[in-house]
Amino acid sequence: MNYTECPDEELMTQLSRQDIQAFETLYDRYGNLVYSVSLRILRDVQAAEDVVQDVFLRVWRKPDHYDTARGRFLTWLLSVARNRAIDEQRSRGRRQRFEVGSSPLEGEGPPGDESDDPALAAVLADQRTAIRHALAGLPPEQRSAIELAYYGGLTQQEISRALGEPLGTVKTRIRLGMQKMRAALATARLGFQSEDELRGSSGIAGRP
Amino acid sequence: MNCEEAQGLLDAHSLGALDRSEAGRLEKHLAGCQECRRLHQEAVEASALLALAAPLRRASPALRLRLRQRLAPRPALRWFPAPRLSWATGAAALVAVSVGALTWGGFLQTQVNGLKEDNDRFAVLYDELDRRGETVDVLQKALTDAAFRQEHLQNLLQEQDQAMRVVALGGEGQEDLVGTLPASEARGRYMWSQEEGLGVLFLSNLPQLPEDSTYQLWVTREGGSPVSGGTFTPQDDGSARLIVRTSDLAGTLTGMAITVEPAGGSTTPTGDIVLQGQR
Repeated sequence: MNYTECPDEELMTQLSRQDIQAFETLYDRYGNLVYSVSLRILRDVQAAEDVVQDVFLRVWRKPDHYDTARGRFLTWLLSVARNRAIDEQRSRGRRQRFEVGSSPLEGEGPPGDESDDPALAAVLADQRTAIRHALAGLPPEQRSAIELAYYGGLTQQEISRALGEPLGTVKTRIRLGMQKMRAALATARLGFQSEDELRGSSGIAGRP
Repeated sequence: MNCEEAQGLLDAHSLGALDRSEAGRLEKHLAGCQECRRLHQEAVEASALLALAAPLRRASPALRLRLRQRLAPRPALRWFPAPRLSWATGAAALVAVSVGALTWGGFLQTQVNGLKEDNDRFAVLYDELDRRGETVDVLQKALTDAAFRQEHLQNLLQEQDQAMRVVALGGEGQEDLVGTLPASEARGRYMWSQEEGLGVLFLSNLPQLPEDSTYQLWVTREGGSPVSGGTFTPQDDGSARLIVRTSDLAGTLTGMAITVEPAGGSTTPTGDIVLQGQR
């Protein structure tokens, strides 16, 4: 079996057979991504490593929690990681304001590679550029509302209180911001392509 | 909730930004509306892309190692093979696991603690070297070796706990061994417990031997030839404590003896018997 060429979903099937090489392949593909988003949310290296460990142990122990019918593997994995990091942040009582465009923390480790898989790394790098451009193209207040929700784990109500803005305003900013972001990503051919297109180009979870 | 209202909440829901009651109402609608479910999935995929906007950082290789070690049971003790042979195998050793074992508990615990500290230091060093982009192969091997040593010593500690219980509870039986010339002062007592699955042999007053010789334990079963229980060296005061692990600790045991053999031991007894017990 050629693990390097194997799609994520097939590797997940292998995990149900306790295939350690399949697990390592998935970790090598996405370990840095999971770590990066966890670190962005928690801003603590040790806590971020704990989240990575929890997330991948969950993948190992309960691969059946991933349902192919409900979307692509990487979408699911990043959601699990983000939710786990937000839970950790809440349990630590360390909820904090996340400022748009804040610089990386000192001591959080070296810049990483997208993935140990060079072809996948190239795809992910393109996607990273596209999503950053899409975010950068949003009005600052829309971008801020989206980031407070995604990285800060705040509800619309909490964002409203934190920013001192009416709830309706926050809801509108999130809705419009996400609409514009999707439109920008669609222009960049990211996010909503068919499975065949994804595998042939640069979808988030499609293998090149 | 109708579709128009639901679709106005999809983005916020995909970001986890709805309060609980609102999320509950939306999810109820989604359960019964295929088109809204499709749009929701699109929103979820778009939200997931936000993860890619986080500054990319490289996870520590030590994290990968730790994770990998938690996936599966560690392999058997490769570097410290502890022979666990039964009488029935008739093979070379009956297993004399440790000499002076009962006085070694504290020593072993210190060793285990030291190894734990070593492991922590290795992990830190590993991270540091990796950040500097230097090779970590040697450290990785050392870290793994230390983990195995730690596990092995922990197993020995557990075994000695068992031995302590045999001694404290008196075991299920005991046999005395008597010294013979040229070690007429030597004495021995063997206590065993089938429940614990081991026996403990206490020896005292054993003369020190020259470097080219060693003591060797032998046991015999009815109708069988002596089987080696391994070699050992007494403490400076002439005492030794052996933990004996066999499939049959006493049932068909007909004899136990200590002989003096050339260094490294023998496959069959060749030297003087210095201690023996007979049933």
